[in-house]
Order: sequence, then C-alpha cells, then structure tokens
Amino acid sequence: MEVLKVQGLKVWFPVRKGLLDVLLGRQEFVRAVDGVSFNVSRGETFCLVGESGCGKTTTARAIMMLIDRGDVRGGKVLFKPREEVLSEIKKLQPSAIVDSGYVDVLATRGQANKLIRREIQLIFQDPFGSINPRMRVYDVVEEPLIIHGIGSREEREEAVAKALEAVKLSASDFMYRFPHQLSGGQRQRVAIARTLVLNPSLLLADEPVSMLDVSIRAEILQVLDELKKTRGMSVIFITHDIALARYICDRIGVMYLGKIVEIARADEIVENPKHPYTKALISAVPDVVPENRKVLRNVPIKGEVPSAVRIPVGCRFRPRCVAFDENPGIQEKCRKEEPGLLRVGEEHYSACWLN
Amino acid sequence: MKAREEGIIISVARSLRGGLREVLSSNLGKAGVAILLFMIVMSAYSLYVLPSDFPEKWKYPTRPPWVFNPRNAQPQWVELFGAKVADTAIFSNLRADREGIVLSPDALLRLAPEAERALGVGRPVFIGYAMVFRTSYTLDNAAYPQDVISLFKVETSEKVNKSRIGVVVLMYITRPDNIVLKTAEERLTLATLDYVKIDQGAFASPYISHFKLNISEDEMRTLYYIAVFGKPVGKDFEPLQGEYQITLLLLFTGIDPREVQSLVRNGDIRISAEVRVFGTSYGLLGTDNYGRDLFQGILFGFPVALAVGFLVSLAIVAIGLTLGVVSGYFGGRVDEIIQRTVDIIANIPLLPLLILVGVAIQTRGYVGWPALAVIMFILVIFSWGGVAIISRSMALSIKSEPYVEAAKALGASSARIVFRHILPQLIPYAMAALVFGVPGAILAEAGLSVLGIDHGLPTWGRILADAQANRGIAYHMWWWVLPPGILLGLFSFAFVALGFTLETIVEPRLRRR
Repeated sequence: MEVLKVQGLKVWFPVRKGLLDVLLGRQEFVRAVDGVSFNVSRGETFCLVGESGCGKTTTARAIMMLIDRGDVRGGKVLFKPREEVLSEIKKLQPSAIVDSGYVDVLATRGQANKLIRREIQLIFQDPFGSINPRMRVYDVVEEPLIIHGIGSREEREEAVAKALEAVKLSASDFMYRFPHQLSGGQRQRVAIARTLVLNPSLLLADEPVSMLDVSIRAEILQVLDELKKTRGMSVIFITHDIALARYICDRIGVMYLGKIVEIARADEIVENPKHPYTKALISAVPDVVPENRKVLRNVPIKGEVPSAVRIPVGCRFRPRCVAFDENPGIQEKCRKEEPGLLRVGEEHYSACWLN
Repeated sequence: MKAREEGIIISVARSLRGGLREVLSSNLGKAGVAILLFMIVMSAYSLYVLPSDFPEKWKYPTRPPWVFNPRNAQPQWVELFGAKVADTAIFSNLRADREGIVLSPDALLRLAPEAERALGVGRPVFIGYAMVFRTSYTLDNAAYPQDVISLFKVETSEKVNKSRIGVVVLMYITRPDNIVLKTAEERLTLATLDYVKIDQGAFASPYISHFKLNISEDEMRTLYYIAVFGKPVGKDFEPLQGEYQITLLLLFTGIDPREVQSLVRNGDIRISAEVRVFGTSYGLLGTDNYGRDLFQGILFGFPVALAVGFLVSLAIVAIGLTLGVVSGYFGGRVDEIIQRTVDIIANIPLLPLLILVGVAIQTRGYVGWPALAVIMFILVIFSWGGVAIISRSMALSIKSEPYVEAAKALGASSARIVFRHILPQLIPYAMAALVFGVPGAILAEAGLSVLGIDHGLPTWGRILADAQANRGIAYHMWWWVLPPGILLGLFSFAFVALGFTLETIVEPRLRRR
C-alpha cells in the first residue's frame, strides 16, 4: 500500500525578467521538476538518483512543502497519514482529503498543514548548516515538540533523551553541548534525532551522508536502516551515488533534467539498466576489481547538461544520448516526441523510444 | 509562547555576558567601560545634586543666582599652577556683631569707626537704630577681585510693616593700608533690602584727591575695582595684597529707634547678610560671561548626554532591526516598501531639515524637553535606515540557512523563526550598532546647538554654542570651551572603543587571539 503518491509534479521557477522581456511579454521558467511521478509504499526505501541539478532536492522540497505554492505549477502530492492524523484533518480541512485516506499535501493550510508536517520529516544534506549554531543539542531536538505543542517539559525531556539514544548518542553526554562541539557524524545524528522525536511515517533524506567522511557514512546509514526497520517508516533517500542507492534502497528512480527517466527495483536497475542515461550512470561507478583500477572506462554519454530553462524538444536526453547517434532510424521520433515511462519488465519502467 | 520568551531572554543574557567578557579582555574595552562608568556616576550625582528647576534657572542668565556670581571667572584650581587669580569668597549667614541706638555721631563711631574714617564722608549725623556686619577677605595674589556684593535676607513677623521702615545701607571696605573706602550708600526700605554692590561713584572723588591722582572722575568710575583693590604706582595701579575688612552698616530711619531695637530683640525682625567678593576664579570649572557656574552646566550635561545618546540609539536600532528583519524575512511587497522608504529617507538631507525643524520649534515656542524630544525624534526617523539595510541583509542570509529551512519543515511559525532563529544571530550586531549609534546622536545634538538650534537646555553642545556666540571673550576663556569639548570627545571615544571591541564579537575574524 502506498504511503505517498507523487503525480505529475511540476516545479517551475520564474526567471527574473529583463526590461526587454517585460516589453515583449516574455516569461521564462527554470523547469526544475517537470512532471515527476512515483509512489512510495509503506516501509519501503525509495531512492531518487541523478546528477546535481536534476531536480532531486527540489522534488523533496516540494514534498516537504518548502516550495512557494505559486512555483508548483502542476501535479499532486498525495500522502496517507496515520488514522488519528487523518481524522483530525477531516475536521480541520475536509477539502484537502482526496479519495480513500489520501491528503493532498500541497492543498493543506494552517493547522492541517502543520499536522501533515508532523508526519513527513526531512534530513538535510549539510549537518553543519541544518542545525542552529546557537542552540544546544537539547534545544535542537526539543524544538519540533515545542512547535507542535507535544508533551509537558518532563515528557519532552524524556522524548529527547530517547531520540538521542535511538541515534546512538549518549543523552547525558550530548544534550547540553553546542553544535560546534560535535563532529559531522554526530551532528547528522542530532539532525536525525530531531526528525525522530515526532515519530513521522515518512522520512526524506536528502543526501544525508554526502558531506560526511567516508568512515562515518556507514554508521549513519546503519542508524537510518535500523530506524526504518524498528519503526516501519517509509524513506525517500536522495543521492547521486547509484552504488549507494543499490545498497540501501528497495526501488530506485533515476532522474534527469527534472524528470524520472527510469524506475525499477534496485537490483534490477543496476543489473539490467534500460535507459541510456542509467547505463551511463552505472558505468561511471568505480570498479572494485583492483586490476581495472587504471583502465580508462568509456562512459556512454556526451556533452553537458542543457539549461533547465530551455529543455530540448522531444526526448530531453537526446543531445547527450550515445544511443541516439547509433540508431539513425529512431532519431526522427526522438526529436519530435517525448517518451513517457514505458513498461520494460516487472516493475521496471523506462522513458526511451529504444525500448 | 513562554518557552520562546525564555529562550530569547536567555540568549540575550548569554550574548551580554559574553560581550562583557570580550570587552573587558582588551585595554580599549577597559577604557571604554571605565569612561562609561564615570559618565553614569556623574549622571547619578548630577540628578542628586541639581535642583529640578535647574534648566529653567540656566535659561535666564541675568537673574539670580547667576548675577551673584563673578563673571568670566577661571576655575579655582588654576592657582595651583601659579596663575595669579583672586579667590571668590562667599561669607554667608553673617549676623550683626554690633547694634545699638545712635543718638550722636560719637555713638555711631563707637559702633562703626569706619564711618568716620571713610574718605571724605565727614561725620555723618544719624539718629536711629544701627546694625553692623563685618567680615574680612584676604587677597593673597596679585590680581584684582571684580566686585563686592552684599546680600541681605530679611525675615519679619506680621507685626512689622516692612515698607514703612527705611534703611540706609552703607558698605565700607578697610584696606590693608588702613584706608577706608565707603563703597556703597543706598536708601532702601526693609521691603526692598536685597543687595548692594560697589557703587562706582561713591568714592571716586575723595579717592582721587587722597592719592592726588591725575585722572578724571569718569575714568575713576570705570576703574572702580582696581581702585578698591589696588594702589597707584606712578601712572599705573598694582594689586594691594593683604587683609580687607568689609563692614556693612544698616541705619534704620523713619521709625522710633527704640521700637526697632525691641523688634529686633524680640526676633520680629531678623536680618542676615552674605558678602560675596567676586574674584577672578570660581568653583571647579569657572563661570561664563553671565556668571553661570559652568560646573553645574557641565554636570547637567551628563545625564542628558547619556539619555539622548541611548534613547536615540536604542530607538534607531529597535526600529532598524525590526523593519530590517521583517523586510528580509518576509520579502516581496513588504520588503519593497521598506527598502524604498529607506532610500527616500537616506536621500533627504538631514542637516537642513533639522535646522528648519529647529527654527520651527523655536518660533512655535517649544523649549526645554519638548524641543529636545522633537530633535531626537527627527534624528531617529532619519537614521534607522542603515541598521535596517544591514539587518535585512543579515536576515536574508540567515533566512536561507538550512537550519531555518529545517525549522520551516518542522512546521515552525514565522514568529518562531524570526524570534528564535534569526534575531538571536543579530543581537551581537545590534549591540555594536547601539553602542556606535550613541556618540552619533550626541554629536548631532551638539552640532545643532552650535548651529543655533536652541532647545534651551544646558547640554554640552549648548554650552559650546554659548561660548561660540560670545567668541570675542570666549577665545581666551578656555574653561568655557575645553570641558564640554573634551567631554564630548571622551564620551564619543568611550562608545567607539566599546564598539570596536564589540565588533570583534560580531565579526570573529577581527579577533587577534
């Protein structure tokens, strides 16, 4: 059963206009997310993989309702909260509830919106920036409880201690430290503890380990994995590292220039990639075989990412596609029509005319 | 709500404590704190010592108490540096040391021998009741005191009709060379008996003939104090040092002497005198051209300077910080309105406007505190822009910090984000801006005073302005110009020093250690 359904999500940011644009009535947009759809099941870890600038983080921010509503130009984010939250929202804002227990997240207002925020939490990429340097660990982890008015002072203290223990930080040691007294890994664990105190049903992790030393990554991933298992949370894990994604995710969605180009179970996508972009991503993963260390690998991709303001007509991957050059017969179609996600196997979809 | 306020208070307290420690760790900071403490102590002292109507008194320099002070007097301590000044002496609460009924000239002379020896007076014949007051003054420097004034305090019971009792007041000065000068003779009543000064004409003619001087009587009059306290040497005079005896003789006329005597003995008439010898030095900081005690004026300036500086600066920072943070955090139309307002305000020339406002409040008749309040108000209204621009840019950069986004993701309200996440970061900057703003306000006030905008209060700027208005005499009257000038400088220095040390907290890269 899906806990989250993202349907045709579009986030377009207006480009600041010059005088000429105003005179000509022109308005251009950065199409950061340009029609993204995917589902996340309960207890599942879903990965969004793609290079920087492809819209992974914007997708996460849109789900988190951190994007100005005006910039969300289409699509829906449907979320199934817990029963008690759902019944509350039914009272507060019935119009936000679409069929069978799903809440249209982007339509929620006021208190209903605040309730939804309790259910969806985000771990940021940068543990050095995502914690207020002037607040002690205790204040940081307690803040969500205060915001949502949960518990008495004693209860909150207990909840904070529990959350810190859950991320393997000794509460008595760390509670009254300032962030600058912590290492990167410890900070990220504090950030995770902050999301945990509210006991959310969906956790978004936006590259939570990419700013950490390699030696610390494993322990953070372990903490996340354990939490997911013990609490039955669903996780959306955002990363640019497809090898990492394979290691922790159940399913992987590969994003390119604001769109998901391939989506499949983790093993399937790595072992049997269908989309030329996925193939390129996978072949770029360093080889673990020592002999091949110094072999220059041939990554099947060319050129640079085009600007998100002027996305190519037809297949958006076309200008960088090696398969496009190798298959002259298909070029006409690639130039004119954009491929949708086509079923290419069990639970495996790819957006390429070659399939 | 409670928790949020508590959080702010704690973080403010934390920044304050940290700030103080940082300030005290540098010599510049220590100097600043020391001067500030001095200012605060002086302000407290001033509020304790000066009467509440002091500004009102200061405003009218030709009225008491200033007319009973020597004019243009130097500070008394210049004597320690070898300056030749005559001390100002005040002999207050003098009681009559002799009294009696005068029925013959001999009787009068027994009471006051000076009456006969006074040059050229001859033997006065008075029949009446007489009181004699005496005191002595020592001139121990080669300088001329400027004047001698005798003040009388008359208390009577209801029985006495004061305007019916006539009094002839005679003032004699017995010089160290045993010459007696009759320096005043006035016919008054008990009702009008307030003070007598040296009468320039009273002794001119006998003085000239006694010393066989070759000068006119008019010339003698203008030289009266030189004549009283000096002796002719050739064509010139030089100060006569030694002990001077000052005798006041009060003769009651128009009433039976026995009646006056019994009234006096029964305490129905009580008269005490105060003799003031106006030297050329007075008090701690001397006097101005009206005889106003500059020390008192300066003293009054302390609390005013602190209050004006802090209030203006506090208001500037409070308004600037609030509007800046609102502008930066909420953005959009609000931001646009606030920033354009700042642009407009920043481009209105403040000085001409202030002069205009100053003239307006003067013609409208606002004086004293209301006038000062208007000037402060204008200063605030036109000065918050800088703080607003900086706090806006700081709010903008803090707003895009991931931790603010994280708070938003947690569902925090705008108020919580502003108060809990943005403002605490701005507090060190606000402190520095506050401290740096204080001297600006004070100097602006002083500048306006010098430019002639008179709010009527004795501030340091106002005293400087008075000195400047009397530039002819003020240029050598350093005690009029230097103290307010130095204090203004010191005051500014203290806050700039504090500001610089606080700046290292705002901008840790400036730290030396």
